[in-house]
Amino acid sequence: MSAKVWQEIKEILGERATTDVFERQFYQRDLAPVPEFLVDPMAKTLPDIIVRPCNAAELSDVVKIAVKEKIPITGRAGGSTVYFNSVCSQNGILVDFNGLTGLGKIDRSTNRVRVGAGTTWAELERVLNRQGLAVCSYPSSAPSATVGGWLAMMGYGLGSLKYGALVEQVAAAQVVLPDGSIQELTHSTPIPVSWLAGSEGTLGLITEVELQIRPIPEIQWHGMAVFQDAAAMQHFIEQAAALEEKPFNLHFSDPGCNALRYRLGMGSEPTSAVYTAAFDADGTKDEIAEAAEGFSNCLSAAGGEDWSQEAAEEWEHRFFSLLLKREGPSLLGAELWLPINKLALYLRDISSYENKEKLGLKTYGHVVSSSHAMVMTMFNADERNTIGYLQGLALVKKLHDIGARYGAAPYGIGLWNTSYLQRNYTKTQLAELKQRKKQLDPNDLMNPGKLYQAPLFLSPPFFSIGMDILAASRLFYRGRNLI
Amino acid sequence: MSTGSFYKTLADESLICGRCGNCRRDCPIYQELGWESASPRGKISLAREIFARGQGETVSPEFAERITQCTMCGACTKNCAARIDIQTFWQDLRGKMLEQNIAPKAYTAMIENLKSKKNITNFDNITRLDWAEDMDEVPENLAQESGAEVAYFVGCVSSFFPRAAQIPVAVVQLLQKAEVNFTTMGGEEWCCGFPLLAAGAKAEIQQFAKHNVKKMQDMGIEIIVTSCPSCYHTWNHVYPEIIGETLGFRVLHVSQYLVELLEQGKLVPKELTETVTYHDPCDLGRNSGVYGAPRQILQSIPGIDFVEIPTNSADSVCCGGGGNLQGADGALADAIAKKRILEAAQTGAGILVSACQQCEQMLEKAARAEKLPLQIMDVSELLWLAVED
Repeated sequence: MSAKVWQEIKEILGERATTDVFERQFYQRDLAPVPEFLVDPMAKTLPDIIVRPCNAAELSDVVKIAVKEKIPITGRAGGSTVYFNSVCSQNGILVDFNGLTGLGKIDRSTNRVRVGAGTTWAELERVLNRQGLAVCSYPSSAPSATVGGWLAMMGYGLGSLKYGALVEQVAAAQVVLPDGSIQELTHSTPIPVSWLAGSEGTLGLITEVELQIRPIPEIQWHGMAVFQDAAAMQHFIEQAAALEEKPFNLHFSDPGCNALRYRLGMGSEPTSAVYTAAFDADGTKDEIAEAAEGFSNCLSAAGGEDWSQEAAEEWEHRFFSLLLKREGPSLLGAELWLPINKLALYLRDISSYENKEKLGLKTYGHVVSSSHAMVMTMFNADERNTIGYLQGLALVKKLHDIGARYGAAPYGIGLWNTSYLQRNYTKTQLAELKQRKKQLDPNDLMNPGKLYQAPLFLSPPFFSIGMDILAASRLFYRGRNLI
Repeated sequence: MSTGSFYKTLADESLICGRCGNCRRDCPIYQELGWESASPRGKISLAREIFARGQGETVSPEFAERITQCTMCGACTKNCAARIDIQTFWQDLRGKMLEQNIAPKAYTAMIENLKSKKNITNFDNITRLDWAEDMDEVPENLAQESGAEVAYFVGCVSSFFPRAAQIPVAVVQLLQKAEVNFTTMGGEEWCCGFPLLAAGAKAEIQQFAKHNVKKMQDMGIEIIVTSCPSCYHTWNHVYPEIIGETLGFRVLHVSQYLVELLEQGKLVPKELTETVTYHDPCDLGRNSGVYGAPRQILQSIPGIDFVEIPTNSADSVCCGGGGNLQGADGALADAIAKKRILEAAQTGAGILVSACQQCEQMLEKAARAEKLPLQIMDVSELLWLAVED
């Protein structure tokens, strides 16, 4: 990075730009504590410059400099993903979006709001609630995840079952495109706003979003169903996801997860050994009555037991899932986009794998559409023990492979899931995505190294052999804290 | 859900942190500075590299500065997805700075001062009741009166800082008006020790706890009333751990005790026509769970139009005056106070009430700097205004 470039950026952003290595080091990782010797051959994660723009014009000026000088530029907001989605892979400029906040105009006639992309979902909900309004959906990382960040990911979470993916709630977005221009994208512009959804910051940097919102629900209702086996739980979930009056949130946990929750002071002994499905509804009194009746009908049909006395606690815990990390200290796992009609088969195979490997596997998930759930299966690890942690990473691939038997793909790509691209996209779909990238970012400057192509070490044959060897090494030696 | 602390050690908790960033949401330091290094997860992340992953035990000057930039307001702990007791984490991290002799001079000077003077100022501890000279008549029972049922633990700021001295004057007048059999520890009151905890000097608080508890027990006190939320928190949550048993007396914040007196009809407020808002002190609200009592007092006064600040109760934003931040980075503390006073001013209230002398000092200074027509009062001061003849 030349002194001239730094000077130009400094003139735009003043104290909101830095080259100080003390500051830059904090942006080298996301939630995943991957060892340096694994990262270094594939990615240069230390940004050269951090910038914190407060508006689209500032960001546009920075992007124009990056284009002119051919400097990679990576966006980062909450930094709450785990696949290096918002970590640099080729140094360059890192854009910290957390200053692009604020609530703009609320149109009550259409229930739409204009919001800065760096606003967190929790803050947006708090501000809207004061005005009798609410968002339609939000991620389980709402306290840290931002509006723009979630749109740049796939945008599924709580509320998605009832209101659809985030992109369905977005009317328009202001974006700084890779040429530095500021454009307003809608569903009918030549570059549709839907291109940005799930693009992980590779096609443009989102600065504002116009979002569908709703009146704040009159009341909430929380139910919980317990099941002795996964097949009955799947039956319940399929029925509940198909209800006319859908729950706002439909969440499930396996006995491994429930046992851990119980050890940490949540839930109860009876629910610690069974499958549970939480059913959270909100809306008007009539809607709630209909939802509660739907819950009872689904429960009867699936042969479960009503355990709703624990449902409110489960709901209150929706932003605190990292509590499950307390027995770690680290967690490894696979987050999968799984068809719900295969859930029981997936959980059966996970249970068999657990019986064989004794990893202490635990699984939970959110049903986010009438056909799919986001499922997280995880196990304890210790990032301080290099061999054990590496072996753990190899076992994560085994979990992905179990999911793949049932049509599951990783949720989010970033860098680390590029090995599984063929599970997320058909050849045609991937070709279309690459065409968009070429059209908008011909110099591959926006978040390069992500989403479209695996680097050599993560290319499927290389990655598969490497992970299989690592997993097999457990026959001879098992790293500490990997049971 | 369990609300107890899972805290083990600095190293263990740094590994438990999942770096989700929930802690950034309401952190006044991060919101003011904007850099990831200023966020709780950033600091925990670096602590993990240093203390849990063995990359040298040394804290760099830049990191040391960030460690001191914290008001200990507890917003991070409230939001932590892994339920880390982050305030204890900060105390331990500051303890490491003391061990490595890199703590700011403001900390070390304060610790030495507390050891010698038993209060946070340079004044002799014997002058703790000088504030009472502002009263028309100093009550005879004010200093270590044997046989008193209630002891008013005044706290260092109220005892020695001129502006805050109006608070004990109001509290004592209210206690007199309600004919409470009360006294104070006078010159035998030592600092509660909370500033030591915030500076990381955990071991040093022990002698302060033992002294204060012993004196109260010797005086046969049944109820201890504090007007300082940090004293209240320390007496209620820290002292029992140090002493290893229940203390044997009720400890109440003055707002809680005044509610009891109001309910008993011992205090009867007259009408005050004012629009009033309330700032929750962190150590009373979020860190001790007392939200209702100060609001009950305000709503007991006829004519008061009470309006909430948008961020209130558990979501209340710090005034900037906690965690020894003023000594370490006064400008940052002032910037946080400015943000809070501007938020309070948007309510349209004429009076901003709090229940903490430190909050009031910070917010009054900020209101003056911003030239806001907002009067800052303690809840006891406002109640006295409504009760006095």
